[in-house]
Amino acid sequence: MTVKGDVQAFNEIVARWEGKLYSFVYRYLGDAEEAKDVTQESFVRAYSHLEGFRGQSKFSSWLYQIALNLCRSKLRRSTAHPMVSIDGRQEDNPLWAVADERPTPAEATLEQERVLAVREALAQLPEAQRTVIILKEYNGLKFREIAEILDTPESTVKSRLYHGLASLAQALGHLQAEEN
Amino acid sequence: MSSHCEYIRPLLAELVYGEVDTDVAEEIREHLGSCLPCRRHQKAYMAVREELQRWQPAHEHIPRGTTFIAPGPHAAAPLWRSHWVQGLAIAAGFFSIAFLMAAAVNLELRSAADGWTLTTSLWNAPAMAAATVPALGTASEPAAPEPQEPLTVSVEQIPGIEAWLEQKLAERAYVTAAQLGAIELTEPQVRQVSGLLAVERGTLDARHEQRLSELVSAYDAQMREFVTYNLASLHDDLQSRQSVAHADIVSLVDLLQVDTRRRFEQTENRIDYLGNLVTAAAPAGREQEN
Repeated sequence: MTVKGDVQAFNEIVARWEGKLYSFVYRYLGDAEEAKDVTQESFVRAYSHLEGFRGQSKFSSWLYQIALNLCRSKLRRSTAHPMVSIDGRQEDNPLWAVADERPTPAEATLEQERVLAVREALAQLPEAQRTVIILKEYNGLKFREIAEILDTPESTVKSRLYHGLASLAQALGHLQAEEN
Repeated sequence: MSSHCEYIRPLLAELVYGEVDTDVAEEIREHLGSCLPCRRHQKAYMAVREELQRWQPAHEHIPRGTTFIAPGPHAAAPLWRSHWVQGLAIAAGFFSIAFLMAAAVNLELRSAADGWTLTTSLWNAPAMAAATVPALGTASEPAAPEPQEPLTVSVEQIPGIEAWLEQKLAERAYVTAAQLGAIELTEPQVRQVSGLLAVERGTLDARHEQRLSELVSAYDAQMREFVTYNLASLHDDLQSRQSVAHADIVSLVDLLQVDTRRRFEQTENRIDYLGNLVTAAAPAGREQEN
């Protein structure tokens, strides 16, 4: 296949998957600019390794795997060189370290407060549970697809989802600790 | 918490995402009917899902002005795959070997009035080992290489090229399809829709099931028909020419791939559409389940 043909075909792939991939990366990292960069880098990696893709998994799963690995690297670097958060409340939390989109008091509404609570609760989850919940809730993937991306049994994915949901239900006040 | 509750709780998470087998869903429903704490958990998980959906910020979609562009062929390729680097590595290897061999045979290169003299002490036979290379400009100029004709492939000259090409096209079509997730489309998509069928079987009417099976069988038939048609077209095209340039073959392969990809996408969209039909056909069953 010609180089021109390759690029054209790959651009079609990019057009098809960029929205879904960006949505995942953004929710994982919590920062629009970082998400944009990581999404772009994911496509670059995919393109440069396209010959190595033999179709053992779905192409989308392969793309998600690349993006997830880049996200993890990004978070590891953020943790190694943590940014200082404004009020010092979340220094240990990489999701907050890379993004602080809290509204000013004037902008604050109940809805925004609630969204922040959701984001904070998500950020407090272990990475494995958070990843499963993002892929399931926001990307609408099946358990089988998530298992393929994470290279882990479906039963593990289901277990992570359950524990993640239970923790979120507690953190958001829908369940008491003793109920869990 | 009873042991049955311990068994049911993790399944509630699967239930609120609608990905649980019919018989298990029935078992969960039975348990929920008599267990208030588990009902509370189910409601809590559904409430969490609603809350998660609140996070739909302006950044849900790619910021305006952002365009992802496939990188150029060399920008992203690993350095070791560059032809220049590979060439340099080969040259470096060659000169290293030559240097080591020269050292091993005590090779000596001397400048003389009539040119360069190469001597070696190997085998102690200088008469045989010495050779004189004419200095630049003293020897006759080598003949300039004749301009080469552009490379063409004659169908008649290469026995079996058509069979080979057909095989390559079939392989290439498969790889392209696999790269796009299209080959996997058959089984997972069918399984996905079959999963829906399993969950909603009680509320589906026979018409939808019939339509689904028609679509699934039509998918395979369409694939076969389309690939066969394209291969036949290519065959005719090759037959009609005495000689086919390599670039023509590449263009034909490109065309085949683009068309095949479109066909795959159309079929995928139709299966998605049917999946929606199936989902829409049984809202009552799902509400009851949730």
